[in-house]
Amino acid sequence: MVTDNKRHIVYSNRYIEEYFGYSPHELVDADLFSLLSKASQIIYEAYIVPLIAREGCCDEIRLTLVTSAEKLMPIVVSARHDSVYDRIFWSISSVSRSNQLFEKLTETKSLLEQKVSLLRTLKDTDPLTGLPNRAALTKYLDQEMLSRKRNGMAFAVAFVDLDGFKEINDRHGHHVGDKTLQLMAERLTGNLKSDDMVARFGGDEFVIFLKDCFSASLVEESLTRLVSKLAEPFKVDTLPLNLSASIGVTLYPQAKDVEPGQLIRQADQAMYQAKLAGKNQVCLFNTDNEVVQKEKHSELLAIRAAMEFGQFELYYQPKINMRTGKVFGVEALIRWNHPVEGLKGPATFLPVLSNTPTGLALGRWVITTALCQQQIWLQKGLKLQVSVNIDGYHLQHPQFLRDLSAILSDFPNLPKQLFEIEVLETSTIEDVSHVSSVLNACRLMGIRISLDDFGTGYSSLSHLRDLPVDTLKIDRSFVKNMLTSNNDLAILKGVIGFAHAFGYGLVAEGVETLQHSQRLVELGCECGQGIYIAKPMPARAFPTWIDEWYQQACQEKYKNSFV
Amino acid sequence: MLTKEQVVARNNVTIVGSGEKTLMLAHGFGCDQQMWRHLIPHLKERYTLVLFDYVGSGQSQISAFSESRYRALEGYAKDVTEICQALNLTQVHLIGHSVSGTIGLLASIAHPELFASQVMICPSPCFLNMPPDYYGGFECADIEELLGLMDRNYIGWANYLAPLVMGLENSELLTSELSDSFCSTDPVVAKAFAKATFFSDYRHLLPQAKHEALLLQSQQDSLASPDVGHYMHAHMPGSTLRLLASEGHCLHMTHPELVAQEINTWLRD
Repeated sequence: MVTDNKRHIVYSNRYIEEYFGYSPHELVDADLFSLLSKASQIIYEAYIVPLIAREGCCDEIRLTLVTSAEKLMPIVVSARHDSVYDRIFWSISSVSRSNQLFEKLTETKSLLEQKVSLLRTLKDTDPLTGLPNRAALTKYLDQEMLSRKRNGMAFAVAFVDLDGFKEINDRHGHHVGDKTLQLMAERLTGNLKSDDMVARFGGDEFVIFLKDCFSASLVEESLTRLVSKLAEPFKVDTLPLNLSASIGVTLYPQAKDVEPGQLIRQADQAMYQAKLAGKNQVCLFNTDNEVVQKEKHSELLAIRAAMEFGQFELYYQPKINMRTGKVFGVEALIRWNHPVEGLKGPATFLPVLSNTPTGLALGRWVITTALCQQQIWLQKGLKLQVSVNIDGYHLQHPQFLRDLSAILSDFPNLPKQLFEIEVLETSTIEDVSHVSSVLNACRLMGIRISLDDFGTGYSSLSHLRDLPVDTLKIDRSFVKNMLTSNNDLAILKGVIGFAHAFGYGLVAEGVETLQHSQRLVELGCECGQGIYIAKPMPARAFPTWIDEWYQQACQEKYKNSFV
Repeated sequence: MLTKEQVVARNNVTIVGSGEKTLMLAHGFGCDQQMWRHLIPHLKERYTLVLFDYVGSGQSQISAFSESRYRALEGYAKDVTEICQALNLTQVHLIGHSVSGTIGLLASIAHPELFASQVMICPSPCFLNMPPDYYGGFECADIEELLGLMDRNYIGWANYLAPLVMGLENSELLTSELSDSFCSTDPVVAKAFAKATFFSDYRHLLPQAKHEALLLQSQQDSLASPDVGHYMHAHMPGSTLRLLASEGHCLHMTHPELVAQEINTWLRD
């Protein structure tokens, strides 16, 4: 079709007639607009005229044509302007191909939209549990902290670590481990509010973002509920299993500005505290804790340095038979010759060492040093039983027996039965059967075992039954009050009765006066130690003391009562 | 208030020619300032010409587009007044094509202090038929069909798909590159302009006109018929109607000399 500069049709061919019903002579001089729908007329004025004015042509523009039968028919037109004759040449074609293209493009667009959203999802999702992953968590936390600055809402971040997951993985394989993680993920999401966010941080670690947290106690309460839910027994493929979780939680906002990463670290630290405190519980992070952690760290560093500089020393307190006066042994007690603070007792530095590698190292040093001293004395003809104190955590350490035999092998000439281990903090022993087997192994080597501070811990009696021991050491608190308190005297009598019934040896601690000694002997406890006999002393002072003891002190102190 | 630089970038403002009188040329629906290219040579010797693209058209910053602002012609009128304010223009003669006649009217009523007069090329205050008093030329169904055709006509299909493929971060850069090709704007944006243009009825504004206006109407124009011209003239105080012996809706492109002559005559008086 050809039109002039006034839109009048000057020529149309037989295809126009064939498809749209207008014969060529019918169209001559007709306005092109008489063939176009109203909407097409707007497209013509708004797009085609400017395009032709600028480019001299336009391509593949979709319009609607009105046929001679007054049907609306979609068409695609292209136009070329002939500037010499000021004519426009039109090509008009069926719309089916363009329609197909349009449908395809629409399909492609929706497919692309799906794929893009799938990719976004995959990027932010942990494939195993379907939970948001660490990257998504970080992004989410950043956003929430930003919006927190605007809306002022408080929130909490909790760090969850499964207790005993590694064992499940090791014992039953990754298949069971994976299913366990999926199940725990379900329990986490199922037991939290829908607007709380749970992310898998890595391995068996999850991070929970709790919205709208009004108080620490509410947060602790809901997380404690969560802990008990997580600890419920479960099954993987009919295999009955159970584990628990330790959760650390920190609150936001805080007095000082914190970064998102710092919040996660705080929650992680609190989680570690929950583990130390015995697992299967919630521990709240507080900024004071952070200070305590830092102080603890610097104390440990100082102790390490003190070990290197040889500032630790063993003092020895004699144990005697109060009936015969015989000095049969010594208890080795650790002291710290602090360059600034002077001589420090164990109560000032042992607590911080609990459950640390430094604590274990110091324990090994004590054993070695005591054995060394014992050998020196033996070479001088002093045959003494030497006892050392070993903490519960040291005893339970998997390396303990191996370390002990290695140390002992350096002293092949020492009679093992002269060496005694005093077991401390028996009430904190968690795995009694494990400790029992360790102590048995020690006794098989010939080492003697005594229970220290006997009578103070709640579980002492069951320990008597379960732990293999040679001697009970009666706690100083009973001895101290035995002369004035009938109750303490009764306990003392009971302990002495137990020891005789089980066939254990007895040593009383805290013998402060002659009366104590005499009364103890009367009650059937012949052995004792305490300041009435002698204070703990450096090794170098011991030979002089024992000489004096035998020459006169014992006679003076015990008024020649020894047999 | 936006700075001059911000507005110039946002609306792709260009200034050509020199002269005491300032003419601001406002394009109509479907195109951009390129549509003035045939008219400019006839005017630039005598006047200072301020050209621009509405946000969403031509090489404007598409990032400035907001559906709420540009849902109605008032939003486009703000573009006009903001350009005048940022460039410190006063006594502006506003030359508006088609819907820009109405946009100019909105702008000059809101900020009469900025303008001196209006020239409306093929204007229409309402494109819809409002029987029995007024026939704008179109039924709602025609406009619905227009929106459908626009969807199918987008030369800028790449525009439509690319933001998805490339991610949102790059889309602005890409869109501005693609906008170089004539008339290929974002379909969402173009349809917003179409709806604001063709579904609206601003006839009630005509009596409020605060400046003299020259109405240039084509003898044959199905988008803005002579009847529409007569209607406007009858309702606008201080208006002059000139029916030109021409066809079509884009007089300034098809008959630039004629339009220039009319403008010169108008501004001389």
